[in-house]
Amino acid sequence: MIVAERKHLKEIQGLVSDQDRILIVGCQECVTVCMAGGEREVGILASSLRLARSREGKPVEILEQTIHRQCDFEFVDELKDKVEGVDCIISMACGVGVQFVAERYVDRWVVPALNTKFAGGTKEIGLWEERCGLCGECILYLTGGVCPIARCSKSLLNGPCGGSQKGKCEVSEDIDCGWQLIYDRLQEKGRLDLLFEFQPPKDWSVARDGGPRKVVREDVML
Amino acid sequence: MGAVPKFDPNLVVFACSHSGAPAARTAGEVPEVHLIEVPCSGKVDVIHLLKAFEDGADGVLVLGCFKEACRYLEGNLRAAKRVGYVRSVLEEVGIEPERVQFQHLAPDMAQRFRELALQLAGKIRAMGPIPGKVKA
Repeated sequence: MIVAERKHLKEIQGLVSDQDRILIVGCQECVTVCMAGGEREVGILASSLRLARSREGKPVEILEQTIHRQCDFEFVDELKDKVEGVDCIISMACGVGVQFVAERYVDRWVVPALNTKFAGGTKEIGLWEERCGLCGECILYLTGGVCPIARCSKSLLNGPCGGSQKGKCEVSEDIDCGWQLIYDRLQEKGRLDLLFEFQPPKDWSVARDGGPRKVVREDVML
Repeated sequence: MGAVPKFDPNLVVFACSHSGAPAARTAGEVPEVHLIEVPCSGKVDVIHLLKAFEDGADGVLVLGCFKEACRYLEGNLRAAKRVGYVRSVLEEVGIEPERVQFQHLAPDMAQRFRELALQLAGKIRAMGPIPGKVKA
């Protein structure tokens, strides 16, 4: 999933300081799971903003709605009625959702309430970790299911650098060396032979280096 | 100098039905306290506490069971964490975080309930009302 984290209230307050009627939109997908922008977080942000604004003597009218998915116009269209009554929309989705809402409601000021962090998963409740570098050409079958793009600080593809010390990355003691993880996993699986296979240079043109990407499935298009 | 206007704080107390609520019932009416009984302090969520302030509370007290005495095992621990989170939200908003508190209580501690409520009322009275309350 996409993992995100809410911006500080002061920053969000600054983004909407001139707005008196605001719609806060949550998303029931990834950001609900990572507890950043679901229905619960929409309520907390709305309440916090109301308290902050009334403390400043500038009360604000806030509407709340959480839709199934903000990265899909089909669901973004459900906001239509509420959008008509507001000056500004605060999107509590990832950057994708914010853009879909902004694209649909071009005559409204749309601002993000979250910082979109990474593609990752829930390690434990309250802890999310990055797992995928979204490189466009998966090589996890070569590395025992540990992604060197996402889990090596340098995204190295040919083994650890000199900064790998006792299984940790030189960037921080809190970061495991991605290549140590790969080595350990392959050893555990009895597949260290994979590391001896010749690998051609990775094609980065299918990653962000190739510009904004699209996936097209003509067979499902009408 | 003009006279300082009298201020009677509105206190909302969320009390666990296994500890705080029985204690509150035995203690009898405490002025300024609006008691809300909940099945477990862990039922109290962040939004409930914020809504209490939005709806005019000057202070909020959450009463849960003592550690390891929670009927639902961890409800009191969760409630204490949520109160901590709400404190950080209040601080961001510009409201004194001390206006919300979590306290442990047992069902037979009626006197302690009274003390806690009056202590918080005293603190809030010294702080004064929240400027620009959403609702009076």
